[in-house]
Amino acid sequence: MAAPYTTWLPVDAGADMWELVPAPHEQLRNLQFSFVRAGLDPALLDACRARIDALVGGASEVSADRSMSDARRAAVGFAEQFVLDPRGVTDAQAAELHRLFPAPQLAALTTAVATFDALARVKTVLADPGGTAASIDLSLDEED
Amino acid sequence: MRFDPPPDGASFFDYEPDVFAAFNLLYGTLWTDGVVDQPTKEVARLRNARVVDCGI
Repeated sequence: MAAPYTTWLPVDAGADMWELVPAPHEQLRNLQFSFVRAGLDPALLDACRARIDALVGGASEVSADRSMSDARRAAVGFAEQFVLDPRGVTDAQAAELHRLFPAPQLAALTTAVATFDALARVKTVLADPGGTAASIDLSLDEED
Repeated sequence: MRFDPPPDGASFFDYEPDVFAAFNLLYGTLWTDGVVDQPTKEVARLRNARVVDCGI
């Protein structure tokens, strides 16, 4: 189980950090929901986000799920390459993504990966192991 | 190009206008609202683009 998120920002213990920026928070949630409305599987998106969080957050080991579908494996691989070096996406990797995702979904997936990468970096730069416990994660579930 | 835009579009974003609209709304808010002035944000944007060698 992951340790609770803690930050150096001067917030009250247990605060939801997104309450500091309510308008961007709502728009960011809407952006994330648009990925799902574009037809992307929420579990696939969560897998991409988890891999990005692990890489940007400096996880010493990134686990690989051998039971992943071809689409999820390709998406997570794309997310991983995006974080490590976006210029490193190969022609074969791009062709595989085109085979597995229709163009509208690939456009949404690319935007999702860029968004998750940005959020992971924000989360990391605001983190402090000795700081105040706070909430920063965003759900892809519109009911949350 | 690995990801050609649709025939009536300018970029891959045009395949998913709803996603693009949501992205633009957030980007616009981050750019125009908040306590940090726009010149400072522009300096940060330029520095970021230079560091990652972004051509946009």
